[in-house]
Amino acid sequence: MAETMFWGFTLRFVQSLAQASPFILCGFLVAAILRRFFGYAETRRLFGGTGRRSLLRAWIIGMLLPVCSLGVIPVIREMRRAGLKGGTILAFAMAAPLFNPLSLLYGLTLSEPVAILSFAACSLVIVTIVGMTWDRMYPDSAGQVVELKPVSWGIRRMLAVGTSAAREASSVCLVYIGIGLGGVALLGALIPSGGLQHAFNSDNLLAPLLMSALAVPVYATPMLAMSQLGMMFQHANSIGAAFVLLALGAGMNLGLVTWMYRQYGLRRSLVWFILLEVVVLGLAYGVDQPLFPKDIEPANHTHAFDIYCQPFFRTPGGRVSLAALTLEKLKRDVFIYEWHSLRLLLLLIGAGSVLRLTDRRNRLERWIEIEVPQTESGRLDLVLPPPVIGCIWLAALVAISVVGCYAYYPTADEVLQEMYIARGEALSASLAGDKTHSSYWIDIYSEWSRKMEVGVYLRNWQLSDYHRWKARLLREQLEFLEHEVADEEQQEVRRLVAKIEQTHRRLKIAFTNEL
Amino acid sequence: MMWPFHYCRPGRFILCAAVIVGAVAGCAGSDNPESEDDHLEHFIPAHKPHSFEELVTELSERGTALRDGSVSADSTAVTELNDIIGWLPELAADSELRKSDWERAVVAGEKLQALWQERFGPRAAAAAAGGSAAPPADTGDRLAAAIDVLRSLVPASRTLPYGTGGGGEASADAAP
Repeated sequence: MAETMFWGFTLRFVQSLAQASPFILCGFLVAAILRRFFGYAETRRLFGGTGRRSLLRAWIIGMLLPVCSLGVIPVIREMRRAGLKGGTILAFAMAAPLFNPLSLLYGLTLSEPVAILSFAACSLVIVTIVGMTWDRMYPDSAGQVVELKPVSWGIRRMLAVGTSAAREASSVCLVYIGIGLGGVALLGALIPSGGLQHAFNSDNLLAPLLMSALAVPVYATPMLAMSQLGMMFQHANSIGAAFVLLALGAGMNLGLVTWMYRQYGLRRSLVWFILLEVVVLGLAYGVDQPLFPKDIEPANHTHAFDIYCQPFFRTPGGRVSLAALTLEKLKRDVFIYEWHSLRLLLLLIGAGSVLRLTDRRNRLERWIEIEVPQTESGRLDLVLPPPVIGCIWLAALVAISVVGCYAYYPTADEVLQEMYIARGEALSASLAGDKTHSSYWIDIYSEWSRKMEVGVYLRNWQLSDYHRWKARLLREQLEFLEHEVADEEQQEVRRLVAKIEQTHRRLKIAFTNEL
Repeated sequence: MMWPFHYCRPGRFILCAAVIVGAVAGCAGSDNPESEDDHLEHFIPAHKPHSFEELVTELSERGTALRDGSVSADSTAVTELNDIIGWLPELAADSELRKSDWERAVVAGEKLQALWQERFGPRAAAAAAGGSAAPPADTGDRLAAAIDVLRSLVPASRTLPYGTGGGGEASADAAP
């Protein structure tokens, strides 16, 4: 039991860290850009200062930047140093992880795209109401500002971003990130395998309430939250709970809560939380019925939250140890780009730690801040002001995430090639009765069908109901297959495998000949 | 420079977090999710047809029976018929119909739904109870016409498009 919990914790911690690492890296970069290129005065201007518009600006900037609820921590620390009001900072912290270009596109191709647009509008309502009320209650929430010296042009300016990011990566920020990851890992240690499958059914009136308790320790990247919403819509689970998952699961984590507590104290943090819970739950119960999918028969379960439960259904007997199983799962489930990001993150943390140990008096920063006379050798050799470069950096980040959409959601032809492999593995494993292998490949196969929809939508800016139905039918049948394999119903498995072959053929024709 | 870990008290925090998360886990999780009573199910109503062809037959038979009055137009019969019309896009997509034919089927289904509401919907029932105007006389003909459109699509729903597999009939699709 204790061993299962330990390895469950370890696996979920490393999986979540790997998933979060690209977003955390992005967060460190954004924080360094704000610090070194914008400076505190310009950062305040960027976010609308202390005026009312600041909440809307925080929401818009948050929506554009590709960060998650862990990656947002270095950014809000920088916003706090810049003297922004607590409402604005917390509004940004809540809004930034909810959507990014990748996840918004994914959401728009769900069977109910209007639901995602409604969720986005609701998130603006949340940050506005909660932020304004909180700012009115505590108008003195802005911290004291110690202005930074501007950085001179050239190599110093380039180095400034790196050192700033490295120092932040080895700061207390890392503790907050660790706490955030610890929350989701604890869930993985404590909740029995599959223990959340029936908690969020559409007929459970308490589902949004229950989700509001679960969602805070949960950590979800924007993409993960969106795919969980997709699964909840597919199973016609509680839509209110789905909304709470997006608002609190993607928008919050225990690390952020700890940061809030340390910055604003227990009382103010509690007030924020109560306000947030009231608004989120009010909206959740409000949208539950209007957005409920009409054309789906509700299932009595969901698989969306299996990843927050113990990863091992039962202790493996005989020779296979949980440590080996954990390693195998990590090798299998963590994507290559996530490993690369994790290595880069560790490198940044390492560099920051070395810098802290070898340069305790910030001599490097003082050298960076030495004023250098501006020299321009020709008409085209311009020295751009730091905020301009900062804006270019931020715009580039947004542009990269938009371009990244085209790589993440390839063309239908490329997806069909990937699906060919996944189909072979999933169906042959199902016929062989290999539950683990079939479940793994069924999920991949199903995910590719979603990516195909998004890829087509991204390139044509439309996706017909006909194509949506073809992909949805495949996913539904794959879900049935997974259940039948789990129940060891061999005859049903054979029937479903034949049916899926047929559905795949139709999907292929629809996406190659009838777009 | 202060080392970051001066700031936090890990022991106290981990204890608090474990209590909170444990409480959440206790409230949310069930110990034995895979027990027999807790079986993972997708509810499929008994009156759901297995294929597009079967759906058209059901619509035709149930519609005729309701129209002729050989079956009482009680709420169950009308609700089931509405359900069957609602499944049309799904079952049409789960057949060999090409996009243009699928769109024709969906349009016919929408027409059928509107006509059906006109004839047996709550407003028609209220009007009948109040003794006011009956639905237009040609509603029955228009219903029959819409079902005819669907019936005309049945052969295409069985035929493999683009000559895949020799352009023959996809017999597996008709099977339940």
